Amino acid sequence: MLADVLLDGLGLGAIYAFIALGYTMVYGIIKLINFAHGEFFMVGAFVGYFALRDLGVDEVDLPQPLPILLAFLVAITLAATAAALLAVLTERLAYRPVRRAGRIAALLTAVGVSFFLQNLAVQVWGAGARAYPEPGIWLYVDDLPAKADADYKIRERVEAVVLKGDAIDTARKAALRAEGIERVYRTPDLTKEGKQGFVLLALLLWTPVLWWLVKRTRMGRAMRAVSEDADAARLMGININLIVAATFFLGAFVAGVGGVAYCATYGSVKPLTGWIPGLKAFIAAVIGGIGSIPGAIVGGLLLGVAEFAIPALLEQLGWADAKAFQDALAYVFLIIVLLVKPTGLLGKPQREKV
Amino acid sequence: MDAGVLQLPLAIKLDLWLTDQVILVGLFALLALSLNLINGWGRMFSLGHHGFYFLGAYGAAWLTAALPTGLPGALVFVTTCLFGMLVATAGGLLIGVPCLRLRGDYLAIATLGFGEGVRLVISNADVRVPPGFTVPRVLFEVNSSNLLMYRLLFLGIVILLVVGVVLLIRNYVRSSAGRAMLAVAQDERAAGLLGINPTGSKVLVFLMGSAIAGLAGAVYAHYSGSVAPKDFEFVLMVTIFLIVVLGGLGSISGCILAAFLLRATERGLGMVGGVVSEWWQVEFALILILLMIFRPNGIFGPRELTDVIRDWRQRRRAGSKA
Amino acid sequence: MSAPLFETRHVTKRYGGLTAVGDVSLRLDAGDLVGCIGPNGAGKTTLFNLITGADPVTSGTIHWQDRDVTSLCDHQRARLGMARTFQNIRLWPDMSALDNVRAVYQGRPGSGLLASALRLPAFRRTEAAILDEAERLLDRMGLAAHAQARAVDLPYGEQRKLEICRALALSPQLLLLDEPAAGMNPTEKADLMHTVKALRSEFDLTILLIEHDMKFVMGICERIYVLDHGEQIAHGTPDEVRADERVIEAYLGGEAAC
Repeated sequence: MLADVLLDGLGLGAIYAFIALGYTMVYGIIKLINFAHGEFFMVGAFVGYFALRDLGVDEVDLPQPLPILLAFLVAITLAATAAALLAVLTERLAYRPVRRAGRIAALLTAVGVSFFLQNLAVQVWGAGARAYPEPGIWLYVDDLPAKADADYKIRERVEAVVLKGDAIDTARKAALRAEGIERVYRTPDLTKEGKQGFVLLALLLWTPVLWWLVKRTRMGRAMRAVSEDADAARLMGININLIVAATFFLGAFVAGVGGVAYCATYGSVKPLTGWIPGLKAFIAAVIGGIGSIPGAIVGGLLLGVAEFAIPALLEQLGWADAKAFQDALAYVFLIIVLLVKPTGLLGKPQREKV
Repeated sequence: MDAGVLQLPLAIKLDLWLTDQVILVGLFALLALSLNLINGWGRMFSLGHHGFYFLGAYGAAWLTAALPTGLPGALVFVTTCLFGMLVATAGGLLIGVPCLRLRGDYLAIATLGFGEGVRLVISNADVRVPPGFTVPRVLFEVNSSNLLMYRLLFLGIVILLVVGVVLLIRNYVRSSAGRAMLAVAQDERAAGLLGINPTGSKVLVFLMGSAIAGLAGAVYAHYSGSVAPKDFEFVLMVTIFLIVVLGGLGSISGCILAAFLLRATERGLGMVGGVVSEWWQVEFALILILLMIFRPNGIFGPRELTDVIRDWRQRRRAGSKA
Repeated sequence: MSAPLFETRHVTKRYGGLTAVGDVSLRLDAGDLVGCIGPNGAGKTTLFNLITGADPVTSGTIHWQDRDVTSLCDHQRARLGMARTFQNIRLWPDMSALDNVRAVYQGRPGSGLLASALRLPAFRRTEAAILDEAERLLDRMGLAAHAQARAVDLPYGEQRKLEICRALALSPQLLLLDEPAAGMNPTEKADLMHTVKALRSEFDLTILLIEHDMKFVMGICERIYVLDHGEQIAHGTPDEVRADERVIEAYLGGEAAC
């Protein structure tokens, strides 16, 4: 029970952290809540969907389970790149023109972009949820075991050809070949726990990379300089536009990774996929301290665990309806944190001059 | 609406359609005016206005269902509308008092969270009202023969409310309380140091805005005869905001004009063909983005229609002299 | 000796390890015209912020007619009768000059929401009185012609005057002027010196002013406090201060280049 809650929470929290990273980086540098960030996440998830469904990397003959990992790697790379390019494009076309027009204009533009991308996705991909493909393994009919250890299908058909537990004798194989079926497709037994572990692992690998990029590279130093004082940074010869674009690229790249991970874990993708997780991830960023990279990770994990642990606790205490309030929990959290420590858990204090 | 409507003569059908459109424009004008109070004059960034509209509608609908039958319709109508307003104001108090100390962006996200959270919780939980339910017709029983009367009655109510709210805002902005609010909006620190209580002033204007939105929601619930969470999604917030920005932050006449314009555009897009109408949300978002890039202060900015006409006349006179 | 109008007792403000104001005790009696000088970064504006409640003190207390007001927040202190102007002008930019002054009149009968919305007789009377007083103040400062202009559109000098006007609308006993002569030419400064003195007697004010310009402060103030690095290094009449070695050192040491 406790382990379940913790794993569910950490898995979801890791996804929040992935999105929160981009929010926090962009906010740190141009003080903009990029509402469209959740949509970059969603677009990443869709690109990953098409990559997993159509590219067929899992058909490459490699010793198992490498094709699955390869498929995910290709899908995630494509998804992240697509999300990052979209972010750079958005920044160039929509955000840069309003950067000097005041914060309300900028924030409203962000709301507009988010809404635009969401609805464009509805028009292009349809509003409904699509089952997220699980990359599988292709097996030659001859190589099938005597007793099916999973469901085997032909890619193009939805129905199972051989069900788990069915006997596969020579006659069955001959029948399949008679239908013209040379190879069948086997979905791997990826459990939800496995996927969540995978997401956590990905977060664990990404964090030092980002940390290194921001703390140790020239680009990262320029980013921090711009976020401290954009005008001074410009006078020092830093190309602000380039740095802002790079920040958007990096933030959305990470969100794209999160998009594929989220949809693969929860099994579906739709145009609204990015909206609520996006909002919550922003809240996670605020909880951790907006502008702080470790803060985004701590905030994300904390929020994820709280979203599972608190309703579970309330249910234990006898409140049957507690699950209904799971979605509202983040907002309650947000308000409490903002009231108690407005700079977030790991944020730097700010002072207004009179 | 009902089957009988289909057999009505075309002229009446047109009247019905027209009154319906104007009522909706009126409700949107109310929402936009009240949001403008918070975001335009008050310069607080609230993104939770759809939540107050939702609370007003659900509050009124819940009380209508809960009250014993047999009470005079007008009494039930007024009581439930006031109750809806009260619920929305209580919501405003709940979110406003802790959050109005927050600066711009944080307030925006906290109010957005409130607007979305309220809807999510009510649509997830069975809070006595099933999500999406019918509101009994309390003013009179509606059938196809008196539907037009019913709509005209609501048209009257909505117009009355819009006029009332316009007067309220106009008088408020030109009073000592209103000037304090404007001062806080333009420089909070300076206002505090000159003896104005910033929190009090902000809470007051926030509550006024949420009360008006709640009232609009209550009237909507009675007019449409049903409420469902899907009528109060974030798209509504974007639409209200679009009206406010289009009309100009801090402009009363701009708000009303923009509400008409927006509805007309939306209907216009819908009439060109089914394909276009499905894209209206995309187009809305695009209009919002383009507006922010090219006219971030709206069409008139904070000016009123009368100011614009006066300026235009002066310029023309100056032009003719030269 | 009667109680002073205003007093700070050992106020200190620290930002992290930096002491912006350290152990400053300052006393103002009714009718005083006192200056506070010091080189750049001496903590003058911070001291003003502590006095008016814009920033909380780290330690020490602030007294108003012998009442401890340290825990009151900015608008409460202002209502007691302390009004200030700002070093970098902070008018309400999009309101007219008249409305900038009128906004300060708060909490009079008939200014509630209901009375305002319904334009009740009490509201009308109060509004008429406010308009009258505000117009008189604008007239006094020579701003009557600009009453309808947006504050942000006024020339710099007029904005400075409007700030004083707005502060006077609070009917203060203590007026705090934060670098009132900043950015003015010698003639304007001379004018302002005259105005400040005249206002004191006209409105029964006690005035504390921060200034960078030594000549200005020496010209009008009866007593002067000198701050350096947040510490109070001297206090006395202009002549005493002028002769003080620590003051000379602070100014020559700090601003030898000037």
